[in-house]
Amino acid sequence: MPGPLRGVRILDLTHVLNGPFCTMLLAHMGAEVLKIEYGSGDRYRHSWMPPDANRDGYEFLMVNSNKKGITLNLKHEKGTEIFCELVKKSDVVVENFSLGVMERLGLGYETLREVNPRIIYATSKGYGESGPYAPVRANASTIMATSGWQNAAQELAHKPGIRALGIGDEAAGVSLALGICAALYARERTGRGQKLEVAMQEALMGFMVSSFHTYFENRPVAQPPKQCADGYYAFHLPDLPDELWRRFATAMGRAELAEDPRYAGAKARRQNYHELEELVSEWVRGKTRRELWEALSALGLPSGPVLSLGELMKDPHLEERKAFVEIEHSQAGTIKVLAPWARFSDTPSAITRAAPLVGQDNVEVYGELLGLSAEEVRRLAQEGVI
Amino acid sequence: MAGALDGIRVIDFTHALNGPFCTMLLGHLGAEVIKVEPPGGDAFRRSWMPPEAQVDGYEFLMVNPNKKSIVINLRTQQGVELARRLIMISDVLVENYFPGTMERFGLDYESVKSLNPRLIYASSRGYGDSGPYSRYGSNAAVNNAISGWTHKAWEYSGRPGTKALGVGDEVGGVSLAVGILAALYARERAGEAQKIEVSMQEALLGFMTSTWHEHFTGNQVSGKGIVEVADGHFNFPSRIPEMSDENWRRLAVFIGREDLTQDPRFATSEARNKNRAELERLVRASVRGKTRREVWEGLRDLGYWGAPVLSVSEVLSDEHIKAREAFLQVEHPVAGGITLVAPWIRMSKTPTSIRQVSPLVGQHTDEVLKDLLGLTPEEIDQLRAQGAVQ
Repeated sequence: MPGPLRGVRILDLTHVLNGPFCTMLLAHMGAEVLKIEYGSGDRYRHSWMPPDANRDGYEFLMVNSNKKGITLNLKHEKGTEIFCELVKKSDVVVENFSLGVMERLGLGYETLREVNPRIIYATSKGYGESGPYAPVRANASTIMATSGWQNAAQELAHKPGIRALGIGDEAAGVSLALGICAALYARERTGRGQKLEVAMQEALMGFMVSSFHTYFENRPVAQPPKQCADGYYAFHLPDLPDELWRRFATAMGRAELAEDPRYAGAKARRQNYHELEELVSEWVRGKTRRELWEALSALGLPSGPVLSLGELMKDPHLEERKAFVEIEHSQAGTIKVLAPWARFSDTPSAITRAAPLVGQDNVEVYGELLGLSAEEVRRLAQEGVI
Repeated sequence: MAGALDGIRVIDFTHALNGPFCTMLLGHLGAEVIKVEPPGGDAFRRSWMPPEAQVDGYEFLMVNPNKKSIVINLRTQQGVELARRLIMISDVLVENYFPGTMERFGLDYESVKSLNPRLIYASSRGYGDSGPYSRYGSNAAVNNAISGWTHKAWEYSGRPGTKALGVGDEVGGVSLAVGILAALYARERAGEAQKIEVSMQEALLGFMTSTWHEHFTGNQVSGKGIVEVADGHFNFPSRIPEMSDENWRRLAVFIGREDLTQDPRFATSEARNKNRAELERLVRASVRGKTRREVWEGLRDLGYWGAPVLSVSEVLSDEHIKAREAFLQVEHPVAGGITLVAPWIRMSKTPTSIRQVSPLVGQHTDEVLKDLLGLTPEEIDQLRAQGAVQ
């Protein structure tokens, strides 16, 4: 069965991670994504790889599955003409160029909507298209710095200058994908396309719910994982009804606590939360992650072990869910990629092919969409158009 | 102008943060979201608040604007009947209950799809509906732990046992929202209902792009770029940019080392590239006495991608954020004036918006029962007396 976006054609001018993460999601759901590159292609192909690497890196491979690779020189007059021909036959244009690039190419939204009034034009930039930072270049790391993410991560680690794990690119990419789906839906009713814009900085802040809680309420959200016998364990004691509190105390081997007036009633337990947390931490210290998980799950309380990636890759749950799929890539060989994680009952999302090489699908795409012969495609390549 | 989802009705059985983050996004896009709460309300209203708090916490306020609140006791037969009637006239159902809960209410997909053949039924749970962990509960902290996120964050920070900043709830929520939108689009063409499922764990794995790169290739993503400067920290890019001779002269002036422009090690673009480690060291050493803003403004026009490390409070008062109106001030009847991140997907024809602050418990019970189900005030009073609604 095809995915929910079957029949939707996306002209993908994005590069690096923010934009390609967006079009990856659309491709998971069955959209036909034409990744348009030129020259040596998206410079991200070799990002974070050794200088002598002669193949695309994992980040690139992960977010470019399912896409068709074509080349087109947008600085060539014939290239912009061909692009406009493609716009006529497509539903969505996505780009994450620096401010003003598309306009300089003569391919801004105002122009493209003349070409195709149904086109949905989606753009993502570090700081958006307006405001004083609009021309400032950005990437995931700088966006985490200017959104408060880096600072909040440093505060939680009690150590400034750390490298923070975050989603500076992905937050904007998924937001853009959501906006595109909404615009496609709206177009079914209005018949018109529109432009949508996502600033990476704002998108990341939208995902920082707990940081804003801490800022505005001046209170921490959740506790750090606790040390246990064989590693660390994520658990914080929620508000418990009295009966569950009794069972919890018994599970800790401290049934007598249920009779302790300091912890009698939900209100008292909230007031003496810190002492209670200490007792819980002490219990956790002596148990293994597996023991804790069984004991706490039996009480219906959410908790879980801190797993390393190595442990995760051998995890029976992910295996049974088939959360990772293996695909063949002509240069990288067999690679493991996460299966699309939004699972549909009727229109399944899927990974059908590995990330394309630069211009891999030129003959097919230009042939089928624009009716160009293999000979014409060859000539365009000679002229430096593709 | 109406939002993209104007006219779409969402019946929202979610609680805590994962599910409500999803329905927040649908609300931003203009959907009518009916938040069905149990008697007493979503327990998340008071999460991470002082024991004596009489007001909903910021997390709740942030993810529940634009929603209507209706209190239905799903442990009563009348309550379930009301829920079924609302499902019949809704486009989307969203829930993030513990496995088996919707089945016990008789409101699982198999039970309700016959009520409404166009219904999109969306579920998110910690580990999904299948597999050995599906019976376990989860939350954001658990999800960060079980997905390798926490472990990776500690590897970076060198501080095991600290709380790792993460997005354990939000990624499941936004993925569910994307799925719902795609399913709505597909429904326009095929006209059929379907079920969407998102495991919080898998969703988080999907957002760990750089982590997977490091895991599978053994190559590091981004170097250690954070340098202490006069008033905080500055995040340097992982490598010095290529620059023209002119920009190199400007850089030398900026770092107070005009003498270096005569140095053959940096005389040409090629030479600078060859000696970039030394150049990087000189630049980083020179900025220690400067403020973040001086460093940023001095370097960004030279092709540097660095940025100042700002606190949340600095972000809120930042000139760019203000110019973009990235935050909104709204009035809440109990919490007073609150600041919310404005919906960040900006659409030219169907704008996203915040039209109403997060509701009080059961604020719209009467309105929904009267307007949508046509109940009379007497019937509503009776349901209230029976404990079916609040």
